[in-house]
Amino acid sequence: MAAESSTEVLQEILNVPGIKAIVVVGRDGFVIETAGSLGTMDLDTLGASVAMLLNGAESMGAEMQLSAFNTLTLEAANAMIMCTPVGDALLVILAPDSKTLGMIRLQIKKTIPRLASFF
Amino acid sequence: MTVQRDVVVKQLADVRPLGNEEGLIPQFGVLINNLPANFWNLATMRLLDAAQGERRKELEAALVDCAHQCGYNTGYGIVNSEEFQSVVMPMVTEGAKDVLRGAYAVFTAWGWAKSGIAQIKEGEKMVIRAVDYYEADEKPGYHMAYMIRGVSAAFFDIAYGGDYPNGLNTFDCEQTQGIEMGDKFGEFVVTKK
Repeated sequence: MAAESSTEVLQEILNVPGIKAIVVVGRDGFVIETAGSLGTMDLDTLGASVAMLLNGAESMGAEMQLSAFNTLTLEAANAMIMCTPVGDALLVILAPDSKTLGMIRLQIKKTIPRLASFF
Repeated sequence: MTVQRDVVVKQLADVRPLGNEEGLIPQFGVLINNLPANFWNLATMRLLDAAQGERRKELEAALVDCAHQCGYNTGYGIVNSEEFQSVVMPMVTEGAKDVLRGAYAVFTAWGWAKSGIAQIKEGEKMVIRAVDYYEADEKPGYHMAYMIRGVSAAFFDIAYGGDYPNGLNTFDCEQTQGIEMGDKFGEFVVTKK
């Protein structure tokens, strides 16, 4: 049996209703892989923004003497963005709203160990 | 904080090294040149098409080795250059791992390949992904990103292969996916020889 690829695992996550797109971003802001519909989004800018967000969250965590963060959720009027560390990278889930947040969290929890072997 | 590649790319993309009277560009302790990408692709494909069987394997190894040696010496010059020291090094907080992140940001900024690190196990393994590289302009029916293979092995040599110049050829790199073969991205895996 052929070993699974990161693309296949991302596609599996994408099957959760409500998820519009997934982006895997390195700690330096390099966009490692994407899945789903990202429209005309500038991926380089998105990657740089995610890296800045990660650095900010880590600085805040260090200042407040918190342990490494597990999830960062950003909710807006027309979007929900969830960031979760995966290996040495960050998994970014984009959804139009938070209606299926519970299912998304469950799927992420189940899939992270498999994804972590790629990043 | 770690190396932020957009900061590196934005600052270095505007650097325009000038050639000397012989048409060569003295930079990073070596001589570099500026030739059209399709020149290299055409030369590579003609060489490969002319070689069959065992000769072809030897030729592929030689093409990777050219990039490996070039990447090792040029890469060492780059990480010790004033540009790298002033732009990248202030953001380095994770040692060799961050230096490698910076090296791929430079690699991207100067148009060799839009590439970065997908996975790194320090001193053991590194996976590189590239979403835009000049070899991907062709559809030869085989993987042909020999430059990224050689340079990626060279960068890992510099980071973990021992003191320069003795670390050359500590690591090797294989191409596992390629845009030139219809994949979404190019993927390169560096491991110990």
